[in-house]
Amino acid sequence: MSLTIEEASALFPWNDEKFRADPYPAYERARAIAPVHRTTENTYVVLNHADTTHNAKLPCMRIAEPPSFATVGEHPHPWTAFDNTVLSKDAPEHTRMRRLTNRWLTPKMIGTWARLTHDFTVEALGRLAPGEVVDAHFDLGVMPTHLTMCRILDMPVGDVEGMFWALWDAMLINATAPGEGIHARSLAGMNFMFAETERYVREKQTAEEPGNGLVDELLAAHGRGELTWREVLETTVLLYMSGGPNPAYLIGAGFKLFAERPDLMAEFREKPEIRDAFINELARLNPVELIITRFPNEDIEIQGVHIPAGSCIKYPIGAANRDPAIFENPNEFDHNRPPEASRNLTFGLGTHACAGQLLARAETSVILGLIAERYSSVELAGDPLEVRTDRLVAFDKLPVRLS
Amino acid sequence: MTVVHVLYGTESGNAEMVADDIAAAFGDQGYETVTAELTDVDVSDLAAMEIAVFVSSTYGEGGLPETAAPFHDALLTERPDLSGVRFAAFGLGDSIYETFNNAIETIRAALLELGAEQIGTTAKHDAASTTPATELADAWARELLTLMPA
Ligand SMILES: Cc1cc2nc3c(=O)[nH]c(=O)nc-3n(C[C@H](O)[C@H](O)[C@H](O)COP(=O)(O)O)c2cc1C
Repeated sequence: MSLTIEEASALFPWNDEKFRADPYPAYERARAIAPVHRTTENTYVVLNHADTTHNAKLPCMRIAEPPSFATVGEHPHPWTAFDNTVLSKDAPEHTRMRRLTNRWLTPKMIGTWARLTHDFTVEALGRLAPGEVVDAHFDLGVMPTHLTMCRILDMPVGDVEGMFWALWDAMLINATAPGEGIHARSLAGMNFMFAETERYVREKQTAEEPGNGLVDELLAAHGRGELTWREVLETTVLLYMSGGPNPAYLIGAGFKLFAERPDLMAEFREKPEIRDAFINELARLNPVELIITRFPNEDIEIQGVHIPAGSCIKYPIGAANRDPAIFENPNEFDHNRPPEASRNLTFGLGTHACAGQLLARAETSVILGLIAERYSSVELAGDPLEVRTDRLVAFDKLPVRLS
Repeated sequence: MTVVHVLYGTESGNAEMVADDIAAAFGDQGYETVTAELTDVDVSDLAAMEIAVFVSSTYGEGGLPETAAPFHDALLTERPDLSGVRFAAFGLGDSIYETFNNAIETIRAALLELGAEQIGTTAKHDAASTTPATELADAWARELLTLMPA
């Protein structure tokens, strides 16, 4: 069945509130029609798990938007601020940049960092009066994981809430069809993050004693002439800003699940051996970043659809993560799925897969483990509040009572 | 008793984890093991090792990981005589790349060229598979143990 561009585009109402809140039925309807849709002259949407996992990581799938997508006379995209990081680079430059952080996020190091997350969470829980309502998202999600990242980087804690919302604003521009005023708002968020971070990095640079974190290593490399100042700064912003918000969504989703399914909370408590699979399933159902985009620099074909070089391909992670061809009862939480039917794309894939995913998984496991072990129940003390675009989701508030 | 040297090159620590798993498997069988990153191995010490297990991921576009490249360069320039050395090889890669597990092949080729003898089969972990590297490492090490001199 062949749809016109208009018909295909109508399948994905990116800016519709209802679609954003729950895009899964729309993905399912679209997939039933075809696995690949052409939604604009040069944009394609791929819905199947198998097609996504195979194609999205092919070497020809470049990550940076080609110049042909820029509108003449328009301001540069706010995210060009990260042009000197792994976010915008392909191999071989990507490899060089990725190497800056690899050593800090090895499976061995993760154990050390997760112990810090554990201690920060214990402290936060220790401050709670019995029956007190706590914002599980900010106080038990963002804070412990942000503090952990601050230790890895050896950066000050800073204005955590201000930075959280600055990042949110900056991300708004990445919606498929951002509305009016979003460019300015994104730019302001971006500038705030960069200014805050730069101030701290400059302070570190002029400190009498060098610190012992990842940022100090970047600064030392800069001192040796191996990294530009922009590379130091952009990489620092990237890491500093991804420590809290991203794992916090996964952690918040865990709190919600515990509140809705006390049986699963009990299982998480009693069977530590299932925790990795449990977190993986939590990640499958709750991706933070909802769509990844790639720009093939060669003509390719996916499911018989010819896609010319220079097109934009959207891979909605949520669609792949709930593809019934791979996941039986795709909308159900089931941590007992066999390994070959549990691989999801929440942390991306291939070369650009999230470098911090082991850390995020470990942090989530540690925090949810502490909750399950110390409390018998999690109760929602109000409706969880989420903010969403078609590209990104975050909790705003997640009030819970632990008892 | 034979000392088993487990030598690894890594980018993001998976090969290090595998090296630890292999060393543990040999340790459990009473072998003395020494685990080292390839950056810390002097090529001239290699000839004195009776059994060396090489573990390496592949990085970039089929390249050696950062911590294995200088070692490989040194092998090719210093060209030690490795005729008494027996080695085993474990690679980590991702089958999505055309250069799947290229690095362990590069290391193997250099060792063979210098006269070392390989024991067992080359393991090739695939990050795109669902088998955890640890699992493959355990199974492979157990297999390797059966080939060891008593
Ligand atoms: C940037 C990047 C490039 C990679 N290039 C290759 C490659 O060319 N061939 C391959 O087989 N695997 C490649 N891989 C996969 C890694 O070898 C695999 O993820 C391995 O488990 C990493 O082990 P390590 O942590 O010890 O470095 C690449 C991975 C990344 C992140």
